[in-house]
Amino acid sequence: MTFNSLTFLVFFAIVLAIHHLPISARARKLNLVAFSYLFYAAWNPPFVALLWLSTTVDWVVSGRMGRNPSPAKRKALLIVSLSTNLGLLATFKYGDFLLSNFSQLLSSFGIAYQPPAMNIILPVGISFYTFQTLSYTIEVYRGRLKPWPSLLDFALFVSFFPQLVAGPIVRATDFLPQCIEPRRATRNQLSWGLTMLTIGVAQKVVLADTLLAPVVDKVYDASASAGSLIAWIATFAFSAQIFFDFAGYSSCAIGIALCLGFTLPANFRSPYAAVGFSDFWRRWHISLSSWLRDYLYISLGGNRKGLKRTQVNLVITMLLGGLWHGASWNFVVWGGLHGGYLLIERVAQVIVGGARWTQLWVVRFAAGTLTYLLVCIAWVFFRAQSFSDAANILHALFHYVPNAIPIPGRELLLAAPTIIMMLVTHLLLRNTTFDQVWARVPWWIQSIFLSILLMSVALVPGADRAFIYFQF
Amino acid sequence: MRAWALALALFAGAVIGWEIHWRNRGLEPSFGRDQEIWLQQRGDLAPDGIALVGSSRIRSGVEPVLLASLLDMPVTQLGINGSSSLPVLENIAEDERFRGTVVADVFPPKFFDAKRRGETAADLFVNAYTKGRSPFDFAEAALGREVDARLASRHSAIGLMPILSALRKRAPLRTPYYQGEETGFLRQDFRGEEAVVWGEEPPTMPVESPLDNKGIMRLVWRTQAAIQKIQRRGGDVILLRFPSTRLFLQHEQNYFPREQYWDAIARGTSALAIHFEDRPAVAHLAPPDGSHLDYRDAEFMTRFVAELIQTRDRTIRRR
Repeated sequence: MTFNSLTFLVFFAIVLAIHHLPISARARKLNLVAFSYLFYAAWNPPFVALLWLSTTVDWVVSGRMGRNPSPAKRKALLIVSLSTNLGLLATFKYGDFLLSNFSQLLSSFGIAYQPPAMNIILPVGISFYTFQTLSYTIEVYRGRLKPWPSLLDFALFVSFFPQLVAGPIVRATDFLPQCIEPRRATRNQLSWGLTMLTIGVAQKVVLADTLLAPVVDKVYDASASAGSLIAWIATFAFSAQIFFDFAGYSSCAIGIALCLGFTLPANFRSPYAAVGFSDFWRRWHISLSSWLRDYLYISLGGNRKGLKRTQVNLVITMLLGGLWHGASWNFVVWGGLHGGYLLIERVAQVIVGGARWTQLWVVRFAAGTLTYLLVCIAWVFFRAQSFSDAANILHALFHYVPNAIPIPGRELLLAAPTIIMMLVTHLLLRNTTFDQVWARVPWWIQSIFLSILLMSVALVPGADRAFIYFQF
Repeated sequence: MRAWALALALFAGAVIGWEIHWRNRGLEPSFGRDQEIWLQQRGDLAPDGIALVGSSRIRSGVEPVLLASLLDMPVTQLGINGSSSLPVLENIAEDERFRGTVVADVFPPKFFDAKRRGETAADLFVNAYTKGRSPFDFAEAALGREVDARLASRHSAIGLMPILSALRKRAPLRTPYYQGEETGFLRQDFRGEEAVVWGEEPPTMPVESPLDNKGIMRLVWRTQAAIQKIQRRGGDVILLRFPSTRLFLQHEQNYFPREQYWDAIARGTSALAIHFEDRPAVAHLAPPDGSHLDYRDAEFMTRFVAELIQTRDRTIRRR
């Protein structure tokens, strides 16, 4: 169920009420696990078995790793965990993609092979919870974490509903220690949690879906006829749409968890105020980028094996990071572009890094603007349904297109201020966090702001748009 | 928490005030969750019943409850705003259980549209039906209906976007003249709003992309394939061109001349094809906005449709 739904409102009210009853800590955790499984079953009940499979395999594997000092056996157990989780991911997420590409590869050699379509349903959240459980087994394997003694805690870590279907990807080292003490939100946590939830829903429902999506959809649905100006508008609008959609979800997840007494890590830190791509990836989908850094990039060797190998590791990490987002070459290209950006940035740092003029505010502003523009260009592949759509939009960005579709005035009037507001906010919050700013706002102004958000959400009828990252 | 206490109080006050405001202006609770209603209706389609498919014209032009009482048969409204009837017609054709009658509205700008602007609403609805509904979908639909049945101000025409539009134009927000019913019927009550709807703001007509002759042939073949599947099972299909007037009629005739488009479908399929211009009984009907019938005329149109169905099936007794 989505956070911006009536069903979730009822569901959360019940969970919150039971959680704050005078019951034991164990009962509270059991309640959360049960409701988390119910939450997941609301999408498709049979897929609860996959969640349980991932949980059970990694629990057993990590337990055995802890009892087995032999490096070879520990490695074998790690391979079992990797095979299970990545196998689930490969089958359900990439099965059709691999088959269709295999078929195309054979046909390029003149071999006609048309297998029947498998039509595999993608279980919601599989990309997130498999990565989450893998972080646990890898940390146990590396010896940084002892196998956790409580299966209940571990099951809660894997299935915790606020972040189950679209992150943040929480580390076991961050979550499991929180299960030691009974978790109940303080008044401040409840207040701030509800605030984050409200802001998150408003970002998604009002900003992303109502104000930004219409102009993006209009242009991408007619990409061949998009003119230069409208293509740029749609590109900037999508950068804002995906931010508000995804950051909105993360804000909801963090807020809901806080209402239950749990702290989840921040997932976004004013990413469009980034100066350079390393900075961007420290601000955008932080939980994924840090996961890829710690468990893929470093496992490949990181920057410890010379410059060339570092570059290869970087590109592989970004390509796979792109592929993680979806079974489509568009996402691989998106990841590849970011890999390329990072490579060029490293070279630039070698050439001019440390020079005083690079610290001038005008240079940093220009670098930040260039970062944003290049990120937006990469987003074209992320949003486009096909390479031809992406090519049409990219062509329109830099060329004159005759008989272009007219600029949709109404949609533009809604999207433009939203985009500008987002960029200004990111600049202003670049070196701080929203909660620090919020704490300085008088309480009655907070009330007015919250009531406006609530009313705006209530005025958006019927939610037919799922969160963008649910498809991953 | 005092910030939240005040926020909730302000929010509750705003919701109550907003609801009272619209109730005083005559607005009643309305059901606007089109996809959810459609999925529910599609799931409830009776094998021997009547299915109404097409665009908002059939949604506003035929009242399913009245039609059901006239024919003493279950009637299901499956019209989708701004859509061609073909995707739903094909979906029903694939449903082996269905042996009833389909009344399909032929709305020229969508039925004969060559340009595929992403997935159409009808394709999305049919895909959602084919994919099946999750427990969450059922729960959300049920809760949504409960909320919609109690709050008149949930109407989409007085939502956030219309409010922003009204602010931009510095014009008041008008009481909506259409209300969606739980049956899918779109009750249009213009109440003398004709001048406002039409006279002051004639709509901007879109640039259409009509099918070429080859496209028309393929469309006829595709439509006939669906019709034949239904007819072979003992069912029937009626194609109906609903009334349109003035700018809409002129627009449709410009892009989709009757002789080239409608006549091709009428001649090329085995369905009963009725064009409103050919039937004096309905030729006089004038949709106030040029495109959609008022609910008073919908009653007349519904009786006309009942007669058409009875003409094709003598076993149906008219009350």
